[in-house]
Amino acid sequence: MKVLAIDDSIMVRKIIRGAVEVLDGNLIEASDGIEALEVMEEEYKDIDLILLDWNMPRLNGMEVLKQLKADRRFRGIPVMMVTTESERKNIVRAIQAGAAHYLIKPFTIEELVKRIMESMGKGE
Amino acid sequence: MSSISIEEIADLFANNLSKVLRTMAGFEVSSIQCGQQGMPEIEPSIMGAMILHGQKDAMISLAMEDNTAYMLIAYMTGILPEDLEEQDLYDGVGELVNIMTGEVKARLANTPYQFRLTSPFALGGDNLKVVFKKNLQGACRFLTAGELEIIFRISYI
Repeated sequence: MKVLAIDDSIMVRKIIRGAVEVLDGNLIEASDGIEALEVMEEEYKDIDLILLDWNMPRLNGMEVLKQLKADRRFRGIPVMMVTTESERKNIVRAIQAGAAHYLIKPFTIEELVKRIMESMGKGE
Repeated sequence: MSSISIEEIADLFANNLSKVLRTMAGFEVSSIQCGQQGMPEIEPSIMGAMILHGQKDAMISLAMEDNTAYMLIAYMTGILPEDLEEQDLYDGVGELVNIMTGEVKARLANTPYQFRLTSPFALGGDNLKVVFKKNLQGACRFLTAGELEIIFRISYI
């Protein structure tokens, strides 16, 4: 399992790394939307899941999501938003734009592991 | 919606910070108003902050000593304190402000107190403090759990 974590926070990426390692997966990191799209160009064939923050510099998560879903190479890869944005209208916007899952910060590591498993079709 | 005082808004942030620290680090934090008897003197050396843009603009901050920041980030990431780098602390404290703010932003959406927020940022130095003009409204909370001590401040700017 290979996961791409897109988040401008080093701490959040480290937390995600811990969760992915619990699942014996590999993590690729991007610190903003532009970097994420560059990574996708190189690595999309190997990526099984994308964890995407919303508020980031340069290119925010919603714009990244739209670009991912507009590209037929990328659109089949499930995206889980992992964000502090908890307003109902924003959750709906993300789901409508193609996010398969939505996890609001704060979360426990156990919750993150469970949601990653669910996103990979390995839920309980 | 009835009016909300800055003290009540400070409690919203402090309560949400408690929830964040309980969820992500396992700390049970208690909160009191700053200046109360028994509140220890701390000399913050790291501060995470953010500007809130709304009907009234405000600045919020979390200030703490280095050892508190190391402990917090270690518990949140599962990485030993000695393996954390300085940039991890600054990033982590800034992100803590960001996460604390998310639910408050959602709760105040569609009210006169709704706000947009900037990216979080962090400051470092000895005995950090933010000084606001005397006539600006502000509020402060001291949050503690064992050796963990954090000062939360909000002030209209």
